[in-house]
Amino acid sequence: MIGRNTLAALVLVGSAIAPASLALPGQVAAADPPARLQLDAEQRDDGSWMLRAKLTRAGTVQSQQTVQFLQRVDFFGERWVPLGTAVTDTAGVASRLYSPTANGVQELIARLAASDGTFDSGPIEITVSGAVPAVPAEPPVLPVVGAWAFPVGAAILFLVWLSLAVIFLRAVIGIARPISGRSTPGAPTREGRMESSFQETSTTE
Amino acid sequence: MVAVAAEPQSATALHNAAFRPMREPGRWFWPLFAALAALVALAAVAYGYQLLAGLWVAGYNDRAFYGIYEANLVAFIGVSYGGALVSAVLRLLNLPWRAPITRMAEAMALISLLVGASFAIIHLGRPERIWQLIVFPQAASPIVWDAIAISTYLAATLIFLYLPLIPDLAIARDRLGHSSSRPRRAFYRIAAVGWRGTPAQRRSLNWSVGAIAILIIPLAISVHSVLAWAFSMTSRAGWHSTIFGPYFVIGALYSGVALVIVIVALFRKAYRLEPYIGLRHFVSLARIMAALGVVYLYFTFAEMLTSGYVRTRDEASIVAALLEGSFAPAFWGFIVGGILIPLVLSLLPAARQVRWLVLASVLVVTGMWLKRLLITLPSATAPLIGDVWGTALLTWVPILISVGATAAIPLGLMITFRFVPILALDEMAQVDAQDAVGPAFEPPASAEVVR
Amino acid sequence: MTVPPDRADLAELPQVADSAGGMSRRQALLSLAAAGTALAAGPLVGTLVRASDPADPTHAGEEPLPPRRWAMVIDLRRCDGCKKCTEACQAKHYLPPGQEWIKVYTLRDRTGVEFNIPRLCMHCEDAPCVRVCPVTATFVDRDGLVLVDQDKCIGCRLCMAACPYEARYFNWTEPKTGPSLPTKATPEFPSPQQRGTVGKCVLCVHNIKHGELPYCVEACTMDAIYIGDLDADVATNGTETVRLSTFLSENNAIRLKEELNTRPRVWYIPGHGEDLLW
Repeated sequence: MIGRNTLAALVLVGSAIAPASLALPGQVAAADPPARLQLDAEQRDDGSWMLRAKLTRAGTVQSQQTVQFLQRVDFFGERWVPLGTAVTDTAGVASRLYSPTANGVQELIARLAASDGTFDSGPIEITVSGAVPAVPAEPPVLPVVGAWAFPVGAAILFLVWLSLAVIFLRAVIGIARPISGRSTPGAPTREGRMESSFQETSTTE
Repeated sequence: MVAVAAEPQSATALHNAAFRPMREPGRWFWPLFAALAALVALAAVAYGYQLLAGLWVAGYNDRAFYGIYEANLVAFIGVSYGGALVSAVLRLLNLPWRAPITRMAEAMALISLLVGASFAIIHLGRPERIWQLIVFPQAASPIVWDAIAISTYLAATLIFLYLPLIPDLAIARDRLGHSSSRPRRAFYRIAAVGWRGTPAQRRSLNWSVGAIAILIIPLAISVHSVLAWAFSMTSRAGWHSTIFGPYFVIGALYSGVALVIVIVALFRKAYRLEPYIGLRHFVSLARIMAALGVVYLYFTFAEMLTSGYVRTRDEASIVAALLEGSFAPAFWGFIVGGILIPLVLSLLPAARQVRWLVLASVLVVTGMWLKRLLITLPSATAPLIGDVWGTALLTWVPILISVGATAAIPLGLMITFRFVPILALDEMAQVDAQDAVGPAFEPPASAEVVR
Repeated sequence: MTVPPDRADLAELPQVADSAGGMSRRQALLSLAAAGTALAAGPLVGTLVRASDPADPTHAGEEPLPPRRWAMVIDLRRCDGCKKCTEACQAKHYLPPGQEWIKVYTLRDRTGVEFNIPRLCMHCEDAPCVRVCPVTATFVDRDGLVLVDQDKCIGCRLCMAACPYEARYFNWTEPKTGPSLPTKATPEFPSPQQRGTVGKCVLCVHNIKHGELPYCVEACTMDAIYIGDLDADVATNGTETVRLSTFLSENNAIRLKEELNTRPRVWYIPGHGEDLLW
């Protein structure tokens, strides 16, 4: 008859031995040592970054594991933006090319979602400059016309109002002034005809 | 061609005719004045109610945000173009038959311009803030362009009405001596700015009148073009059309000439001006109106053709609604009653009587008002997302205001001609002086007093 | 003032719930924290520190966060047309029933598939409504959002004519006001609205400048509405966070009426195979 204590001891021993015997390199089972991720970023010539995450458990590299790369943002609270995933190779390194679309200092981590928990690497910071936004702002349409439209329009408007003022004032002042000898010597015939018709008709009535 | 229609009249008879509205307008004057004033007052009451209750009382809603008021804005400013055409263009073309009707046409232009511009205020949700257009306008906005164009055109119209009026005011000053009140005499004396008819004065006046007649034409074109572009500078189907500028200008000229015919006919009959304004005047105006109607028909056809043929979704739904859908009765009614029938009446020799030409003109004015509504409503109620059209309600508020605005034009003219001669006396004299036939009547001597 | 005959429901506007049912858990926690902080720190600090007042949606007196280049993404695969977004927006902004700043259309596309599409103001980067306003009442604010200053608006409605998305509404009648707010109406929180002026979605600028999600994003039970930043390249619906550019490209996101060149900030992810034409 197996006592309770014996049973417990058997379970304990069994759970210690069984994983060791059943576990193949890289497979995680319960009570495995915690995974450790180390993230590394290398800037390339074209401005992109090669992210490398090395996954180890108790010093042993883990391959065939899916590692997610995340960026920490402060956007309505602290949030993690998924940048993509990669699978660790035989050296335990998951590599992913990251083409940033935002400038400034970025905080990145690598994350492993395993059956025994979620493991994050320590955060690294990269400074991005010269990144092109994925949806760039576009320049305004017709900038030259836009710059000239207002001055030209204002100038035309000013000339129109000036003309109206000149037209009005010239008439009113020309009429209201006392009748002076404004006629030039050798006046054109039209003026003479009008003048004579005026005088002629005023005498007939 | 003489400026005077019938047999030569003496200066006395001409002046009597021109000053009759001022002194003895007739038994019908005060009752009609009261009736028109009552209509205008009712319109004011309706507007007051709208100010208190909000624009929903005018039948608007979010899917019918433009309607009667905007159509009225275009229509009433549009009919003022008749004055510009008759006074300015006919003067520049040196057509002498214009002389007896220029005063009425120009005064009508001014009054309908003011009435039309008031609709720009009536349709606003917060009219008390209109001063902001002066303090912080945005230069790129079509409404700012509108305000600038209308105010500039208003100034030009005032100048164009006033300058040729100076000699006539001088006649009034000289002739209505002791028979008018002291303030009135003072008004004529000041307004006539010392006109004596000397050559120097005549030179100044002629230069300015010629200059303003030239300047007012591009200004007039700019006003209605800018009003049209307030619609076509949006992306809405039916409005976003390159033809809108010329379309509105031709439409304005068309309806304006028609209203000139109506107004001249009414005032001619009321003030017994038959000796000076005869059938020939109406026939000439009606021919111009017919020509403009044909051009308007051409523009309308071009609009419908280009939208309907290419049939992009939004354009096609508007064209379908106009030609075959819910707006079809109004549209085809406009084509037949607003363009084709007046065209026939204007050109048919058998219809060459004042009454038929006036009927044609009334059809044109009414039809063109309807057409402005057909420009405003379909595009404002067409769906931009989905396919549910909006509906505008017809309520008593815009009806009363529109009727009052229509009544304001003859009312304003009746008031105007109590102070200003209804015939352009000096212009008629000038036209006759140029005439090879010789003067059909004599320009007045300043010493004579008319009893 | 009479109530319009077709608006009998104007007599009773929905009230903002002041219990936890109306606020999100986050807001409730914030208010607890604020209350606690105020209690503890009040006597010591006095008026130097002003706790954020959860009852004040305008966040008056608070420093806004740095500007972002805002965008929205609406995942039409998830939208079920429940209109909770509309209800939340209308309730919290005290909107009359006919005025739906975010409006859910149920449309049928060319293949007969029925789909729901919420339409809000696109806050276009080249907004036609801003260009046509005669008195600069419609303007672009620091964050690039299109707002309306109802103190300036003269009610000419040219902006309503210019908007290709039917996103603007007019206060044809006197709007009923909600419970009195601690601050007066501003372009960022235009409530109570003014009669005779134009109102529209403000992208909850009063919230997003202070780190709170727009009401529609929070209210969406399907997590279909995302808010994002085009410059930081991130978007979230409150629950999930995505990299905005890959989210858009991988899901074939489109914008409405792209050919009009208004450059709207709202993307739609079509689903169900419909082609988003109706």
